[in-house]
Amino acid sequence: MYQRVGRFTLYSFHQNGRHECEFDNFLSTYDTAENTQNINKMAAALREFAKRGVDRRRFRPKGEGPVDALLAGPDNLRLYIIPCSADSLIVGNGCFKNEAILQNVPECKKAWDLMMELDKALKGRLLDKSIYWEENWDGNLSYCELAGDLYFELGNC
Amino acid sequence: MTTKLDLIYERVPAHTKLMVSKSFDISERILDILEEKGWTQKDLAEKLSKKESEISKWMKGTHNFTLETISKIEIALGQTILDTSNSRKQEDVENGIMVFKNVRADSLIGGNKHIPIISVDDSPIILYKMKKEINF
Repeated sequence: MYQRVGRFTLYSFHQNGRHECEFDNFLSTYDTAENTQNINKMAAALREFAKRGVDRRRFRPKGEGPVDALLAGPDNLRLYIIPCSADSLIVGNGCFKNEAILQNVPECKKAWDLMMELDKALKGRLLDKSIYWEENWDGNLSYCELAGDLYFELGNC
Repeated sequence: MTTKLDLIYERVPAHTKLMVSKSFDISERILDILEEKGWTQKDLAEKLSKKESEISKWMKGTHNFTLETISKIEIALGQTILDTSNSRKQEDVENGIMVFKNVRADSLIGGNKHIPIISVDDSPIILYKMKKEINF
């Protein structure tokens, strides 16, 4: 879990050997003077999702699979996200990508592939129930969070 | 625990937060209309001669919609997205306003001189219908 805001939970994931999770790595890489406005918009959008919940209609049902992206700026800085439930999002890494296809931008492909693999592994574990949604309480506020075996071995790790 | 995102969010200017919130409102309105009509984002993209990916981008809440884009979307959907009509102002005109008049000041020798600096016809001030005159 990266952060919980009320009922809403933001998840990211941590690769072995890295001192930051993927989302913090994205922020460390792209939160530069020339990208401040883009990152500000993304931060505001993530907080807006926390307030309003995740409206599935915002995501293309037949888009690039389960992984979608928050985009900002004319150069299309993108942050890869997976809508998990009405109250949760997984945020990963990102890149700049305009009209170029994914395969031609290695940085994007790497971040996107990792999200796709994570989504596949997560769905598998939700099906075999080694990962499940657990209802918790914070005072009078109930919220659901992912629990169980959240350690994954993906790709060439 | 304070996260990196918290630190960034703290510095986000109020106008950016408001812009993103409005962008969410606009995209939510578009999504509601699409649902009402049984249209997909692809249908809207076709109507606007845009790529579906462009419409998808608009729906994420970070897009800064221009009035031109909103107008084009409204025409394509045949419905209003942004309701900033002058209906409120019109309502005020129809209801009229009350005029408070200082009778004593007006009765003083010479009276109050209200000299228009520009002619009424050129005035940018909207003329209101007088509802009631209250003397004091």
